[in-house]
Amino acid sequence: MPPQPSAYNLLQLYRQHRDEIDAITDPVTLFTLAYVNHLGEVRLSALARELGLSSAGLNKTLLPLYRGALITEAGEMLRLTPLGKRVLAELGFVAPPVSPTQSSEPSKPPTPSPKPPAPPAAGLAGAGFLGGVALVLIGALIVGALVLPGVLNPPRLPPTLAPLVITQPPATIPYAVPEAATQVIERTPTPSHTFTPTWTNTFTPTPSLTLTSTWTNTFTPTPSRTPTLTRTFTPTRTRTPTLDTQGPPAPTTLSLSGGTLVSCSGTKTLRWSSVSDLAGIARYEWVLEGDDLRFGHYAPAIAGARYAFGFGLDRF
Amino acid sequence: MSSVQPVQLSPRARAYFEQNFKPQYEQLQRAVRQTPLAILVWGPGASAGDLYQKRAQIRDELRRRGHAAFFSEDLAALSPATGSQKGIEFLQAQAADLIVVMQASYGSVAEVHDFAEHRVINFKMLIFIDERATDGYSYRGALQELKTLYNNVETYRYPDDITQCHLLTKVLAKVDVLQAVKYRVMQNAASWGLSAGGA
Repeated sequence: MPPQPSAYNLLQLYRQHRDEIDAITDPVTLFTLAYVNHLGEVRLSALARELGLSSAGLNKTLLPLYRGALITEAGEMLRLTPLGKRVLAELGFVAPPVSPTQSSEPSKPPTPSPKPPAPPAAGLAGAGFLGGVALVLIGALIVGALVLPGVLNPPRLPPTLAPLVITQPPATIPYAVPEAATQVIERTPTPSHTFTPTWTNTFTPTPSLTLTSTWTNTFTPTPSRTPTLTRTFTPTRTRTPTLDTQGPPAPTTLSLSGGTLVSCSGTKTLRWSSVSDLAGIARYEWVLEGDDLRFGHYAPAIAGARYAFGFGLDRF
Repeated sequence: MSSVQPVQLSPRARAYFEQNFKPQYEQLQRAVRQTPLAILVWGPGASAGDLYQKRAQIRDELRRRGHAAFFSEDLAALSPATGSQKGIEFLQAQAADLIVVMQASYGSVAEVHDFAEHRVINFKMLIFIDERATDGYSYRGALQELKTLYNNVETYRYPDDITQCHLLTKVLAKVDVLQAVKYRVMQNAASWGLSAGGA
């Protein structure tokens, strides 16, 4: 069979819906989505406890769900967006799963009867008519039985053959075994063995042993202590990362133009991340390093510091 | 998709996992696995020895998983009588969901260079090239740009990566993702603003 033509560019679709696909293909992320939907809404800290995840681990799990706008958070309460609910429903996670014993076919509507039932008045009239006919027939049968007994109840005829009763034993026919014949005697084993188990319990007690224990309870109650409760509460802040839900298209080679002048002193190193996702590059992350680098107000000017930021190349 | 591994769940979460999520997830996995892709496997012919064996192994494993995986030469009988070989391969490539290329023969090098400029095809290719060839024109002239654009060029070390299953593993990783995408398109095209049945 030749390959069937694809109307869609699957990689392009993956690029557009990567967060949704990542959520589907990662069981932990998908379970988190389904479980939040199951709970309705849940506090982030409670969800981390329920899933046995650290705060960082939960954030990592939730990241594609945030990016895909499948969940939303308000006041540290997490709940699904309408899109998240729709995706779950389309994947079959909203309705309870069908047990293997149930039929996978959809239930069919009941087959309509070929004739609708008669209305009650017509039914009663029909029943009355049939009852009258039955009474007339029964009466006729009773009269016939009285007037014509020979017809309805014919006399029994005597039997034409008398039963034969054997009064003498049958004659004995002598039988001699031929000399040349071989007599074969077959014995049918008769299960005549009867096994009756006999149990004889013989118990010889050993010489008795008497243990004498002496318990001395010495209990000196200590003065009661009132425990001192010390509760330490360290508030944790969970930050929702800034979402970039729209992956940029594949980058093209760009260069500075329009008389833009970039000046620098010393040695600067520009490094960028390698491609990591299957559909190609959705985001570039790059690092500009330098000993005397100053980068606006985003970070304090510290010698030897490394300043990192990331954005799409198409935003140059 | 990877397997489901519940770890340290609370009793309530574990109950939901066992009773609700796991049966449905396994059903979803089965449905996704039953979504076939059309895959072409380009590469050296039978005279290439172990490289051809690897190519055949990739095709056969993909078929074993239910995909429509073919060599181009498998489809020769179905190709139109008229038309150039390049045109026929273009049509085949256009129809495929994924093209696995073992760029280790004259033919496969030419195929990659023919179609590296076609935007409707070049992203579909997953190209494996010997790491010793990365300083040549083919890599610098065409593959490097493809790798930058689509991350679809992989180097391999001969013969270690051929005798082991590194190439097949990378192919299957990409296939798994595309399979999930195609499943979503086929099941819920309207959700993505697509017309149903287009996949």
